[in-house]
Amino acid sequence: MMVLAPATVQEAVDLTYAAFDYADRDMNPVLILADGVIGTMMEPVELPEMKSDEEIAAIRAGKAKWACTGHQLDYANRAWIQPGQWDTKKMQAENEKAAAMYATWEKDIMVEEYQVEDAEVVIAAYGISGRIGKSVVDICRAAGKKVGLIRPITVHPFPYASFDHINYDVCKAVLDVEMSIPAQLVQDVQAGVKGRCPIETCLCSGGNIMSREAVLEAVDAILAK
Amino acid sequence: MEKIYSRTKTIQEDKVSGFCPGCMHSTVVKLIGEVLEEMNIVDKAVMITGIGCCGLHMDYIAYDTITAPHGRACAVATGMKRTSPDSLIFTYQGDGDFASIGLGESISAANRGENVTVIFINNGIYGMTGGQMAPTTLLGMKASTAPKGRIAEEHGYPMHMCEILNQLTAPYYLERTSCNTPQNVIKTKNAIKKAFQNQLDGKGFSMVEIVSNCPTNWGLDPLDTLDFIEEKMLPEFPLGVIRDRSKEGV
Repeated sequence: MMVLAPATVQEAVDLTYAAFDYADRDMNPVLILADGVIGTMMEPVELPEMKSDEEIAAIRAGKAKWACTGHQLDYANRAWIQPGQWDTKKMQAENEKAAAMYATWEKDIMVEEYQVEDAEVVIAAYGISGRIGKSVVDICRAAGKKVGLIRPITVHPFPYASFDHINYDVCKAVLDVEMSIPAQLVQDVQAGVKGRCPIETCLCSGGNIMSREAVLEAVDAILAK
Repeated sequence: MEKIYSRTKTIQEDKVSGFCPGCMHSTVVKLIGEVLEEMNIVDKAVMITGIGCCGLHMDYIAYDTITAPHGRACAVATGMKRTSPDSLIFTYQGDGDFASIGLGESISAANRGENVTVIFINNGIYGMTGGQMAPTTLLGMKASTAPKGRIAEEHGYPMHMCEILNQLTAPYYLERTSCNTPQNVIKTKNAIKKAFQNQLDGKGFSMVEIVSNCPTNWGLDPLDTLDFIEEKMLPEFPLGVIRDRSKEGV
């Protein structure tokens, strides 16, 4: 399924609305992967416009064929929602259709590439780690250090192509920043970097929130090499 | 010659259900279909089946149906009734689905007084999965996971769901019936009708618990299962109306 990772409360709002639309479009679940700290933060947000009663009625009418709300007694037209197919051939066909649908998600990739083009260190991070990473980029750039950020917003589909936008002639390392020990995002980062530069990690876990100071130290350690 | 009785049109003529010969699921599914036709609400009906033998007729009946994840029929019913209040939402669940894996959802839906109808088939065993012990299995009754029979010290006691739900304030109507005699078949049909009417009248949570059989996993001939129900099941699960708030004039 698609996995969306907000880094701000506004993003949490926008991605939640988007999640419903993606789920509706694909008839497939969508996961909103929000860090716990997003759930406890308070930030001002702008909510989208409410849909009108007419719009909602039109949406419901569009689903009348398959929605289980009762139909005229007619076997061919009844709604039947089930978790799979009894027939194994039919079930495989369903899985093949699903696989084809997953392959179309590349067009839905959302990523923030921030000051990546000339960066000597590129931070890879999502969610609150991504937000902290962006703050680290700003602090470093103000001090004349060339640091950038790749922040996946869709963690799946993953923005592997963003790692092709790094200038590997100047980039000393990609710094994988995540609140996970052992590191997990790093596996996708490895698949994106394809060995073109070293990958370092800056990690914490157990409910600790990533420390900006730890990330700054990790950046400096790379720049010092 | 005049045709005075025919099979309910809610059952497809050319389909075969998954039920074993002599299983009361066949009877109950037929009764549900007849009640829906008599009340003229077939086109509003949505059945939410659990997992188990209770789900073996998905392809057999002609009204809308959803197969809920195991045990979660009451949760699905909650969502469906709240978003489609004009539909007649009823669950069709066995003892494992309703009282074991689904116990949390079942009690919570009853406690919230959701305006849905539960048809709970209690045959004291897990049918489809091969005869394991259920929450409602009798003491001394053999099951594949209790080969020497249910022992209180190891397995606890059979669970009485009507009586458990009767401890909650919200439920409106709780009745236990069976299909082991012609009179009881008629009583079951009347109970289902009453439970459906309660929903149409917006009265809240109704349940019909139907003490049923399992010739295959009880290891008995279908006719002998009727004796087993009479002699063993009914003393443990007495038939009758456990709660009917219409008597209070609500």
